[in-house]
Amino acid sequence: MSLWVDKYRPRSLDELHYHPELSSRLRSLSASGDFPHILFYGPSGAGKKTRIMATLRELYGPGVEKLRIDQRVFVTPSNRKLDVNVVQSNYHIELTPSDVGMYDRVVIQDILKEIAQTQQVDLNAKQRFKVVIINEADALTRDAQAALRRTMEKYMNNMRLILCANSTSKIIAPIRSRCLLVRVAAPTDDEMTKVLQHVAKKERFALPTSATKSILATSQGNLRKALLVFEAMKMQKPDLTGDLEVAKPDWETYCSKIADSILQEQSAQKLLDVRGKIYELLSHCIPPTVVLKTISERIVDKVDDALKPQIIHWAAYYELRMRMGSKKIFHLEAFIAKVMTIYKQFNMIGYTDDYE
Amino acid sequence: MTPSSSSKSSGKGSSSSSSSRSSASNGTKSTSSSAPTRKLSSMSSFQPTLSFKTTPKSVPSTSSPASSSASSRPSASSSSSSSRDEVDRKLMPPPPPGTKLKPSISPQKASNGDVKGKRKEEPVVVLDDDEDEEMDGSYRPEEAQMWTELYGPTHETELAPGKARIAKVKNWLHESIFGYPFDAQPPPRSVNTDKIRKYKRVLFLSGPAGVGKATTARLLCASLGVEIMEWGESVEEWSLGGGIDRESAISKFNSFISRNSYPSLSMSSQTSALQSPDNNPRIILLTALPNLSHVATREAFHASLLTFCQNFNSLSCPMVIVHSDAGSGGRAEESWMDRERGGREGSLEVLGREVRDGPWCQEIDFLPLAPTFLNKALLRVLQTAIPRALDRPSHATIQLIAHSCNGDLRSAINSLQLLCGGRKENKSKKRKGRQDEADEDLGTRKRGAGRGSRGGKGGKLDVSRDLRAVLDAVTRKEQSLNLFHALGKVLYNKRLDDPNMEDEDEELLERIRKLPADKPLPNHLQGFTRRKSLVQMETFIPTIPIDASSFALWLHQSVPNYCNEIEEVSAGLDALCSADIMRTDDDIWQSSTQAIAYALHLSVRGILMSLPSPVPRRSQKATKPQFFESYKLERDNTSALDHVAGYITKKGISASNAFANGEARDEGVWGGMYDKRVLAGELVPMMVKLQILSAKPILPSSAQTLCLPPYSSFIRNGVELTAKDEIDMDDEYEASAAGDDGLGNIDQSHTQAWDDEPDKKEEEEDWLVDDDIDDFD
Repeated sequence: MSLWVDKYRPRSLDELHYHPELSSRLRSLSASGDFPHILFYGPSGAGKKTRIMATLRELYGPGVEKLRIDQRVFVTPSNRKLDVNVVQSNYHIELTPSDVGMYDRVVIQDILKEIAQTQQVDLNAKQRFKVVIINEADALTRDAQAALRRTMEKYMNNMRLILCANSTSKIIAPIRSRCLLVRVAAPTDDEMTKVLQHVAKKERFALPTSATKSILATSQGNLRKALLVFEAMKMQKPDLTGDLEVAKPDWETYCSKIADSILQEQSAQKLLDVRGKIYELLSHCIPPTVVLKTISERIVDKVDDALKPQIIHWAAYYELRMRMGSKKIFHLEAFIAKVMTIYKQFNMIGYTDDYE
Repeated sequence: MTPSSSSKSSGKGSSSSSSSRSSASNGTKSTSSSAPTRKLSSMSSFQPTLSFKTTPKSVPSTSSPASSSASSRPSASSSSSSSRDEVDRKLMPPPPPGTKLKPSISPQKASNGDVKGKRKEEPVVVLDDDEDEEMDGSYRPEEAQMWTELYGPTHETELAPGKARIAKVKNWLHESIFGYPFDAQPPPRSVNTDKIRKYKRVLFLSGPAGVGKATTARLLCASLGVEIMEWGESVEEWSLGGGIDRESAISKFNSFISRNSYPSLSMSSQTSALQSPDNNPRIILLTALPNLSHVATREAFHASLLTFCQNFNSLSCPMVIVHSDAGSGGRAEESWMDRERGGREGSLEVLGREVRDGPWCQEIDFLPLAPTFLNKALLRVLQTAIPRALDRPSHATIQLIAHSCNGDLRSAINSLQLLCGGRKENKSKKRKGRQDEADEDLGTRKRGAGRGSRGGKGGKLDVSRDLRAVLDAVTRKEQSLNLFHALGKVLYNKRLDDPNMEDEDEELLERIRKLPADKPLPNHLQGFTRRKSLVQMETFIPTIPIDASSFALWLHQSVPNYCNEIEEVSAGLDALCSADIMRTDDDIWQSSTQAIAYALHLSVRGILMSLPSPVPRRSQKATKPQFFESYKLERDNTSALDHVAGYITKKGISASNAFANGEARDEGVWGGMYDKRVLAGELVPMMVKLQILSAKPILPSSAQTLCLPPYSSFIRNGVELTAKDEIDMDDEYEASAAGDDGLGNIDQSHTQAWDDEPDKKEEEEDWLVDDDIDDFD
């Protein structure tokens, strides 16, 4: 069984449903023979990877779909061995160096050198260069980015880089200036509806507007999520009518329930209950920043307007401290205790400014 | 030492021991005639020599007291014969007991005799002393050894670890050697027991140091009549090769394994190994491992383990690896990150992935011993070690030792031995002090009673302060007791002029009253006015037994319980956050020591500031931070996520290739990698949902642990610190450990079909029950 996300993923630039001007630009770039390094950036689920793969197909033809997976072993200066999974075809190689954390520089250097020093062997290849796709480029350490910058200039002949990131803010300026920046914006609601309708048509059923609405509301511009939710809802209730329960990931349900219990009672005991849930989320690999963000969003949804700025203020405050500190639970819990305090005082004595 | 000299100076009590000694020295006329000094001194001077000789011997094996006392003397004497013997002493088998000499101790005798002579002023006392010495003398060879070895358990029931674990180990050993569980009926001869034995190749015993892993293995082997081939630090072969051609540790290990993997052949008289393999079964016990932090060594070690597992025939013997989790001792200088590195990753590091995940290997994890278990074991040791009940230290002392050793039985027994050694000296030297001691004992007891000590549970152990100080010096490992107290000091936030201050130490109160009064705070800071705290940071900080960051975790776990209002909790947590920002733990080598100190001050002072005063007493418990457990789970789940990521990528690639070849399959056609965050937050949770809804497998079973349990079904109670009757707790542990088959408790709706790769092995148990590979031929 394959997921709709995978099954209906567009495979060429022509099949893409939105951002037509971007598609045409990518097409002409691929045809020009002077393909630059590109940095694709945009929110999660907007279609960056889909566009990258479609561009590759445009560059090399269907040969890029013949993939293999390799496990590469790298040795750090301290003699530690790192295993990195690499997906490659004859024309490109894709890797996620940030998987190895602080050792990403070694991986970047080794792989790029290797690619760059070998010429394209396939004489029928349309391009003389190979493409290296680097996922999560914004999670690369500064060292790794610096290493990248040097190689980008040096091996321009044999290799092009395609970086994929959520935002450019964590990418050092030299790299940004050497790349063509391509922003893949999240699809608008109309565009998302178009895609959903397309899938529904392919699956041969009619999609009621009420269902579309609830899907759009949960997915918030994330098309991958929308399709996953869509598929789950379709399975839950094949006719997709009436009062629909939106299938969300469990951890989101967790977060909104946590938000509910925060607003329901503000006591040390409640905090301890909530703590258990937070630990549960963290131990299931849900990133703490996401947990903090989701909880604060749910709370902001529910509290009085006067309190909203304060809650956002504290969310930002504790998120920053969380990034600086090492024990995430302290900061998450301190945030919750703070929100409880504010909410309690608001209920007792009305609004007071508390940004201290 | 002639018979006449011994009878001259010693009292009646000595007769039995002296006669045995004289008979031993009969064969060596030369020395006995050249030793005109009195006997009592000779004994005292003899002691150091003896203890020196016996210690190297005592390391490799648990020799019984009788044999060691017989063998220790000859080795002492034979060493003098030539210098080459000196080198090979360790390897030499002890000469037969008739041949020993008493060499070259006469000069010392003389000098010591003078020292002793000074004591002669009070004849009665000296006689007493003599008697003591004499009695000690007969015990000497034993006392020269560690109690841990002399009085180790001799029967299965005496083993300290929990029964469930011992039974597990025993069953494994029995199965691996005889091919069927211990309590089962032996199968008929026609059944090929090798089917089970084949998959019982390596037993991995892990756990903190000193909980009796190796002892359990040894004792059970002995009770099953199994010969143990031990690889440990004692296996040193360099002296044979003259130190020139040193084998590397790993090649030594390899040859050790190949030498010993099979029971001895029929060359030895009592076995005919070929006919009946069970006749003289053997087991390889690894107690010390090669240097696994060296990559090449580790790989070679893994490879040889793998070969060992794969090479099986009906004669092969199993292997038991005993591995102490490094770093679980809770020493102050290691951070929680290092400490967490024990446990599961430890086994991966030691065994290698193939062996650990293969069907040959079983892991049994030993837990730190609960104080009640320790108590029992210590009492047993004491009963055998000190026959006279009066000489034994009080129960309270034993309890204190049991509490203070952090579940490490070996260190507990060692401290006990040290303590008892010290006591004896005290007694014989300053007998006058006894009266005072007794007074003090009485005093403490009275005080304890006045306070309404409840004993055991949370009550303070009535041990005199002197004793405590002695113990502190002896054990140096008083963490869990002090941790409990240190937490209590902070969390109870005692301040001057609290109500119910009767049982506070007057001296301390007095000292704090004498401190200069605080200046009054200005109006806008009135909220921060507090009465003087009884916790004086300068004296308190050094008594914190764990590192700053772990202490913060303990505080964090318990703080909300001690607060009345959420505001107080919030303030306290803020302080902990600020301390955490100083990043004191994950890069412990880079952070400055000042930062750590600041962080500690900040967390303690912040908590003290935020707690209400007086703290409400609701019989709160200090519980173990959930953090550690959660952190471990998180890492397990991260590796599960890695596995899922690999699985999805592989599937996508095969689908993509199929598509490229023109075979349009109804499969995902996305060949690429997914972001880990996307996987954890979107893809996997939704795929789990879809899988449940569609009842079609789309994820491998390793994703099982990534499912969140239903929201409200769990309320985790932390594991309480010292108080409470630990015996229930330990049983609970045992039960949960026994019932846990590695899959965790996932509720039933989730245990549907999981899409496992076809080559993935079934659960180990299934393998063992119906494994038909052998039946093909």
